[in-house]
Amino acid sequence: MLHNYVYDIDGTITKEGYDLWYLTSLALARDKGEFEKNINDWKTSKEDLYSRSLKMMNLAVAGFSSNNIEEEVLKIIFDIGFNNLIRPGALEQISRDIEKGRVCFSTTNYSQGAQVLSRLIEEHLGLNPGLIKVKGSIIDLNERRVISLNLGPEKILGIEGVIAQAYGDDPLGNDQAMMEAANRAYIINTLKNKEVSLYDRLYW
Amino acid sequence: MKIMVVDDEVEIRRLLSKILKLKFKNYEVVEASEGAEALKLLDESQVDIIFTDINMPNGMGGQELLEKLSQRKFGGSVYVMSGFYDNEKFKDNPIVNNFFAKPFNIDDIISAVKEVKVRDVA
Repeated sequence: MLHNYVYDIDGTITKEGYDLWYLTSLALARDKGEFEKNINDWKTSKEDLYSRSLKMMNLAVAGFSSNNIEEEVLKIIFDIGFNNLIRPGALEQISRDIEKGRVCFSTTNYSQGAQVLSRLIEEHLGLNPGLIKVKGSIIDLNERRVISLNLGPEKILGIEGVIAQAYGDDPLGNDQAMMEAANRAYIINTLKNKEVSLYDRLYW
Repeated sequence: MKIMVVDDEVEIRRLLSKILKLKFKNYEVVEASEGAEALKLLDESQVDIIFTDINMPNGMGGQELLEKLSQRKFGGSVYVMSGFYDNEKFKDNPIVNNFFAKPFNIDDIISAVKEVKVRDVA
């Protein structure tokens, strides 16, 4: 049986405050004020997390000024600096887990953006390209709409085998299903989750 | 068209190369971690644009690389990227087309390549 080690990306692999989905969407937004307004609407909406997130991502994608997600993500990582962006503890853990099973990054971010980060981490760790499985939201860039939002229970849909370990920073929200399904889950310490007493806490 | 990125900081070199490859899909981008490796690559094939760091303590530094390029009468465009020196040191060096202080804006690098492209077409 295949053993998976599943990692959320934003806030888990990336340091707190560096949300690649937000930074990518903002960089690609034709109207940055409109994008920020949509973010605010998402925060204050009474709809369930999935519905309001799907609505927000569709609005973000519809307002893209270009389809070059990969290039924007690379530029963002270049500006921040790879070592400033990625938690060193996450890199150490990934290199340990890759020896034990399959490492999978599962994020609500666009799959293209997650792929870029995954390749950079593979290169940094000297791993073969494609060794880390990547699962992100699927976007139709021609129609400018979301095909599949990788959020909540969707984050583990299609991951075959056992989820041996899961790593997330949002155990009561976006990472809940992923962490509940795992044999063992770890919460990555952030200001937002500091009051949560579930799971073992990692201070990467 | 071939671009060479010379920098001992692997993440900078790798990211800059990836961005240039994505932005200029018909260009080849090669990497060197110090000056001697850059010169070896130049011996093997023609390079049109070089972006080089200056402070590379574990090999031939950028200053020596510039001198070697000058001796070789390198005909391409050379851009210096440095966090240690400022433009004053390079502004009168005839082989240097421009200087980018680190940390630089990646769009400035992209613009530099576009300028070379325009010059070549003209």
